[in-house]
Amino acid sequence: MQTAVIKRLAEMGVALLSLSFAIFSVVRLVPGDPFQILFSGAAPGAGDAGFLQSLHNAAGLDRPLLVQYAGYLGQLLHGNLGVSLRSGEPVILLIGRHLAPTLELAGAALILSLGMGIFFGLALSLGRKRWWGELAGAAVSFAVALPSAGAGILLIYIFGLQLGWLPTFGWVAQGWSWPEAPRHLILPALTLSIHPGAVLARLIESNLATVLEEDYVRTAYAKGVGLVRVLTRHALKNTALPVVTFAALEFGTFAGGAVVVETVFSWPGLGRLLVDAVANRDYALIQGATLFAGAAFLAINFCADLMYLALDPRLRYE
Amino acid sequence: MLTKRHGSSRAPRAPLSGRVLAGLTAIALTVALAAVLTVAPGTGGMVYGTTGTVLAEAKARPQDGGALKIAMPYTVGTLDPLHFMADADFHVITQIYEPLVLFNEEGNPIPRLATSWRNPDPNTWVFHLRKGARWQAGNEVFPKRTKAEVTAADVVTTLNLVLNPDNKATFYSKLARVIKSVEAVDKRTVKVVTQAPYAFLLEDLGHIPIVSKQVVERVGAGQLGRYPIGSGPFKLLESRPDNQITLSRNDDYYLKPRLARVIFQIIPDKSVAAMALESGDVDVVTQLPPLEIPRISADKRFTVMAPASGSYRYIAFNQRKAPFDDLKIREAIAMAVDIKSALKAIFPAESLAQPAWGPVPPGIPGYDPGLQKMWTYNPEKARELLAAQGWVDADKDGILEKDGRKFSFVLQAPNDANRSKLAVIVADQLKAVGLDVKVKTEEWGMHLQDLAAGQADMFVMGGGSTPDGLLYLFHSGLVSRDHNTGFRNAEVDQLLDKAKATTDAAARKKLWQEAQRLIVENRVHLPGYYEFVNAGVAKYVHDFKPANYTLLLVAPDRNVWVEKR
Amino acid sequence: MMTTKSMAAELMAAKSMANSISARAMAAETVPGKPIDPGIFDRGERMGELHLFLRCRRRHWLRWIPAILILAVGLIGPAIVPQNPYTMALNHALLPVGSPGHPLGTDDYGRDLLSRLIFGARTSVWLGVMVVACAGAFGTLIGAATGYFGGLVDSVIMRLADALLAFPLAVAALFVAALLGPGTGNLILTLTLLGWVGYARLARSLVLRIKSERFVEAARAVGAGSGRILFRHILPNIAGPLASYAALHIGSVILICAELGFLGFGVQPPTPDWGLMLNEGRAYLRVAPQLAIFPTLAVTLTVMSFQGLARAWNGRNHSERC
Repeated sequence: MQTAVIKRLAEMGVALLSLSFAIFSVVRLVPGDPFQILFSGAAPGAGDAGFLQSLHNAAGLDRPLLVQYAGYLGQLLHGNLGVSLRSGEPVILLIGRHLAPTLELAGAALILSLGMGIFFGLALSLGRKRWWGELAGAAVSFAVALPSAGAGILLIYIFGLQLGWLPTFGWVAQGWSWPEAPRHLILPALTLSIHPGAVLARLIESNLATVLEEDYVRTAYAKGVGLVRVLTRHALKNTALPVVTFAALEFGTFAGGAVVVETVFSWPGLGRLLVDAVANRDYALIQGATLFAGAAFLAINFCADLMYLALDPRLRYE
Repeated sequence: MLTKRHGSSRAPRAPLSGRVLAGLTAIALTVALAAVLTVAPGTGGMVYGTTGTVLAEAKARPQDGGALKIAMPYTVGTLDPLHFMADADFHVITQIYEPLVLFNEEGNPIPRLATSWRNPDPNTWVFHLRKGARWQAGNEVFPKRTKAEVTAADVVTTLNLVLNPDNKATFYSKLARVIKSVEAVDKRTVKVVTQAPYAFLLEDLGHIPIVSKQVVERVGAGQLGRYPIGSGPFKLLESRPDNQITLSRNDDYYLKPRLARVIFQIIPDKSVAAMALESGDVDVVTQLPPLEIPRISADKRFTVMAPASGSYRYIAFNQRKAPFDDLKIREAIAMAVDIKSALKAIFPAESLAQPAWGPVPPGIPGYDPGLQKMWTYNPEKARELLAAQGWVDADKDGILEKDGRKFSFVLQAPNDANRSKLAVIVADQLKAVGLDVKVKTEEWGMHLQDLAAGQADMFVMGGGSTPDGLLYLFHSGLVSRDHNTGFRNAEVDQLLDKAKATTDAAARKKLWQEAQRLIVENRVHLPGYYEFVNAGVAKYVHDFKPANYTLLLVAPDRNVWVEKR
Repeated sequence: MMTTKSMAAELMAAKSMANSISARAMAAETVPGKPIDPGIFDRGERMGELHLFLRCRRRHWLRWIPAILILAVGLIGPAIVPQNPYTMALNHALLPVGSPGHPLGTDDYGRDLLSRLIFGARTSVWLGVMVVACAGAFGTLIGAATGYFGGLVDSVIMRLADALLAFPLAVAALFVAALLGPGTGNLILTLTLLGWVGYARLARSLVLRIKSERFVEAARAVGAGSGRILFRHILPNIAGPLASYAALHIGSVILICAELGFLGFGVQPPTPDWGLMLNEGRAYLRVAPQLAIFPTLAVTLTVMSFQGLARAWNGRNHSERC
């Protein structure tokens, strides 16, 4: 058990290391030059070719790739993610600044998707051969297949444009003004939660279907235990584990930034930070944001596994 | 109960019911949406804003306080006054900091930190600083109620920081070539000596926000972005560069700003920004999406404003590649292009763009409307000219060839809507005279790299819309990203050099126009259009003027204020 | 023995492939009441619990129809479009739905929206099929081989797969740009690079499951070589689940391509592509909402069709249970 955990941690380290190298080399292979892009917005005459070259050299971009990478690794080991080529700010600071909106969005989407998933999952399980069950099934099929960009645009069209109920852009720092912050959050969180919510509904449905076929459940039925009681006492308990795991993992993905949704709703999270960094070829920032997303993903996965281990006693018997 | 329940999961269900229902739902949704869409244009104008109210047109008395929320499409790259790049950065920075001078919408210098300046000789500039200009207080360097004046030492420090190559300031390479020395004559007098007479010094200094010597000494030149302490009308309250930047009034400023707060809201999506304007979530949108302009200008709650000067957009020939090195070919191609009809198709409102006939936009000294006479649209003649150069359609496939080679090339454009549309339309027009043109739209970074490497055949680009723009677009001696055509002409170089050294505005304008004529004759660019970014402003915002580059909220001739709602 | 279980697992698997969203959720799938593999951290093993659940229905061939229709549209689309989807007429830009000659109206370049949607089907289907073919072939071979031979190579490749899953989508898009700039070919390459993992995991776990079965043992006993056993005996026996996974994967590739196109990292203009159309249409949401709404519906209905296909296929594999 302990060895397994240690082995797993080591594997995570290796995965992050290879991720860092892959990103490091890929960003430098991409056509486009960070300083050319940077100066393209400046007044004419600012930044001639020689000056751009000196900026390159100062950033160490003229050195061989492996030498650069070795330097970067050294920095990483000291917990230094480098500074943004564009704004000169430390990458860690930029990530920190974008973390709050990202987590806020991820948390809200998680809650919404859990709610939707449980609601529709139950509807699917209990509504078989009934019209509302079929309707829920159709809705879930549609939601699973809906691209999030399209979903966001549809929501903007309906709630922002036609009805004018909700703002369609930006993030309000919590505490700045109370009703504004949640109002800005609703549409992006809803958009982000549609897909995982639908997948969750299917997950719950299939788990319930299996559980309801189990002998002990049938026995309970046979003893005359009502449906609701069977569900709450036996079936749901067994469904909880995969649901919680799934939710944790979705959160792990969102924590790295939801690129599309953040773009649609001008949400200043990690996803948009990354997209902007890519457009600007801000190497250090791309590397930092990617590593952060990767690390968050792996860490939350790891936690999910540990949780799994803790929640399911049967695993210890083996 | 049990058997039934259990059975239900096994027994075959009503065939297909789920699928059918799903299908029907989808179809129903599609139909419903289609119905909404067809009706929408008629009913679309009804329910939009909830908070914006129509106000009486009568001139209201200026009111103090209130917040102005400005929607900008671009992320603010940095608030570092030495390293800022884009217009969006400058919009915010110039609220916090002040240069010696700023330029208004008409291109005239307005005194900021410097109240007056003179040229004792062509190489010397003497600036007299404003009495009573003070550094913002209430921060790490200047505690509350500090009254630290802006002095000549601050100006000298700032300029020396720019001129020091180690600091890698944005304007280093431009100013290091020009300025010989900077010195403080007394507490409020600065002398700048140039290496040679230089006409654009004032413009350049207009880009250099003055920073405090004390701040630099305290936090270091590299950290200025994190300590935005200036002498401007507003102080930084909170900065989230890709979401919202909040400024608050600087009560020590020599002109008291009426606005208590200025909030820059970053909304990359322009149509979303327009939505925010209409719902009252923002008060000003600096860039309206073109298609929404007719509707917003018809709305009584808003004014649509265009800045006085436009941005030059052009199609360039890469003269390093045959056959574009041949003036006759360039002339022929120019004759096959009808810019006016192209613009009609691209821009839904005339306030957005004007056809360009030369590289200097209106509002910039040297603008010459007379250049229009030098361009004719005549596809027949274009074909004749091309035939005279040996390009004929021998195999009747609709494409000209010469010595067995087809006239085919790539017209490359950045992937923004207007410029890629221009490329598409021009390509169509060129196809009509037998040229095989492929349009390639490129992501900005890749486009820049292709141009720098001289790889594109013909390309759409923009830039150089400043008083010194011609230098960087056409002077072969100044290696610059804007000089991307391989054009070399000794006569043009000479004229531009002479103009650069001519401090007399009228004489310079003449030289500028002379150079421009030569450039047009040489068909270096196919001038496309001057683009005017239209701002949408709520009527309850007073005194606001949109800006291409300098966003002035507080100046001797204006002090933006917001009517209480 | 395949135990049947949830669609959701497959959905997640498919989604995870290019989206790097957790294939872990699948790993969380275990059969209650049944012994669980000891190696809790060994994903490959638990992938074996990928239960392909289907409530079998008769006549599932009917559920093939939408997907076949979409494939057909993708194939013959160019022949049946009412207008050339590339022809621009800027004086006919942004015509509303129901305009004469343009049933769905036109986009901002005056191109016929219906024709572009039909052409977009070709782009999407082509991308989906190509990615699935490449990733499927590569992933299956790798997975089957590593599962069969095991050893160091096996664990190295599976760790590599783990690292790939931690790749954010936007960075995947960077890959596209890195390989000679954005374009359809590079997009296929990228999604293949990220997509083979799912097949490899699935194939590996299936192989682990059957490699000790009697018919494999028998083949080995009569002296068949490893290659022969793999290709003749094992691959045919694991083809079914892989095929239904592939059908789901086509759907998710189309979904991912739409999201990438929306971000501007996918198919490049002027090629008609649903994601790109969605991105371009977004700017005209107020004046011409159809430009964003129809591509969204096109993607959704297509993905739904392929999910239907996956279910149908799956049902066929397990018809003995009905």
